[in-house]
Amino acid sequence: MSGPAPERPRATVDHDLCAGIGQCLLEAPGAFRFDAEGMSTFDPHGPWTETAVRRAADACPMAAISVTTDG
Amino acid sequence: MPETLSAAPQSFDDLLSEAAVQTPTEFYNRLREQEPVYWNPRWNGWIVTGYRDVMAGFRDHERLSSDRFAGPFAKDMADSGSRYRQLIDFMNHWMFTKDRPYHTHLRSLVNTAFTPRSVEVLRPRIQQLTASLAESLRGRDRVNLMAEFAFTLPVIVIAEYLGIPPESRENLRAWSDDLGAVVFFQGGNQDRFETGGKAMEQLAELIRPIVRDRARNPREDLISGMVHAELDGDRFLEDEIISNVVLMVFAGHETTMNLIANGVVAFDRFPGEWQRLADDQGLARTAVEEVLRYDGPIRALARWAREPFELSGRRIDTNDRVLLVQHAANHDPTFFPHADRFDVGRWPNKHLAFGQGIHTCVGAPLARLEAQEAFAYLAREFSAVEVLTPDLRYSRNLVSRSLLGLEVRLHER
Repeated sequence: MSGPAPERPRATVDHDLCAGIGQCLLEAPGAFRFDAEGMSTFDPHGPWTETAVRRAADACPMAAISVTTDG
Repeated sequence: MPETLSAAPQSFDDLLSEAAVQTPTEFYNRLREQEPVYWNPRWNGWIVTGYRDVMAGFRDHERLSSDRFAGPFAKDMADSGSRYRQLIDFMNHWMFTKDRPYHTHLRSLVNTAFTPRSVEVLRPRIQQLTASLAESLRGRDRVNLMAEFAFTLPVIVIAEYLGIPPESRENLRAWSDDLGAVVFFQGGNQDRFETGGKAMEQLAELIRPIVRDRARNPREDLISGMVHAELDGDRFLEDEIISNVVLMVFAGHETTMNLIANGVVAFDRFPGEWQRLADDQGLARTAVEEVLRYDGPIRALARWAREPFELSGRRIDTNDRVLLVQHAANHDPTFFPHADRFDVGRWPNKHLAFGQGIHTCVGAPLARLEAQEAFAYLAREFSAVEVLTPDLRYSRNLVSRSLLGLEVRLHER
C-alpha cells in the first residue's frame, strides 16, 4: 500500500471556514486543489514539501488549514 | 415567515427606495421569495438574493467579472476618466476592480500583511485603544458612537499599521466619504466623481511623499513592506503602491466602522445576546461572525457576465450586470436556521459578508480582530450600549450598509 511516509505531516481544511480564495494553491500548488464546490482540499499524495504546506496554512486568510503530524 | 404584502404591490425596481435602503432584510426577503434571480429593468441587471446563487456567483470569477474597465460598467469609467484622470487611473490599480491575472499581482502586494497571524501583532494596541476610547465615553448622556469610537478605532489602527501619521485622520474620514460615494454607487449625488476625484488627489498628495521616504528609509510599517516587496521578481509601480495604500486606508476603516455600529444596533435589539457575550467572552469570535451575517457592512457587490450561463433557471447573457446581494443571502432561511434571529453562538456561520472566492475581503482578519476586541471589551464593561437615535437612517447607496448617525449611552455595570 502506498501512502504518505509516516513522518509527513497531514493538513486538513475546515470547509466551514474555507472561502475559496486560493491562497493555499499559490503557496503550495502540489498540496491543495479546489473541489467541485471551489473548496480547497488537501492531497496527501501530492508533490509538496512540509515547508510549503506550513507556509500555506500560515497564509490562509480564513485560518482554515491546520497541519498535524501523525504520532 | 413571509410577511403580509401591503395592498399596493411592492416594486422591486428601485433599489434606492426607502424600503430597500432602510429595511433591506424585509425588502430582499420578499424579493427572494418571489424571484430569487430577478431582472431589474431600472438597474438594468440581475438581482440575486438566494444564498446558494450568491455563493456560486462569488466563486465563479471566470464567468462573473469584477473588471470595471471592460464590459457594461466600463462606460461610466470612460466618461468620467476624461475629466477625472487621477481618480480613474488609481482605481484601475484597485484589486477589486480587476480580474486575473492582474488581480493576483495587486493582491500579492498586501495579502501576507493581513493574514490572521500577521495582524495578531496588532492585538495589544487594539486592546489599549479600545479601552482608552471607551473610557472617554463613560458617564455621558449622549455619545456620537460613529465619530468617537466606531470610526476612531479602525482608522488609528490602519493608519499606524500603514505608517501614515494618525493626525491626518479627520481628513482621511472626509476623503474616504467622498471616495465611498463613487465606489458605492451613491444615489442622488451628481457630483460624486468631482468630489471623489479631489479626495483621491489629496490622498495621493499625502501618501506619495511617505512612499518616497520609505524607499530610502524603510521602517517597520506596511508602506515600507509594499515599497520593498519583490515577489518572484515582480515589483510594483509607485502608482500601484499609492493607490493600494489609498484603498487600505479607505477599506480599512469605513467598513469596520459600519461593522461596529451595526453590531451595536443589533445588540440593542437583542439585549439577552449582549448579556450572553458579557458572561462568556469566548463568544466574541462567533458573535462578530453573527453581526457580519445579521447586518454586515456590505449589502451587495456587482459583477458582469463574460459568457452566457444559467442561474436558478434564468439565462444570464454576455455583458449582463449581476448584483450579488450578500445581505439577502445572509438571511436566506433555507440556509440559515432561524435566519431572523441574532444568535451570538451561531456556528457554523458561513455568511457571505466578506464575499467568497478570489476577491474575498483581504482585510477580513483585521476587521474580525478589531470587532472582537471592541465587543468583548464593551460587553465586559457596560451592561448596555443603548441606542438613543430614534429613527436610524442609512446611507442611500447600493453597496454599503452605513448609518448616517448613531447616538448612544453606555450604561455602567
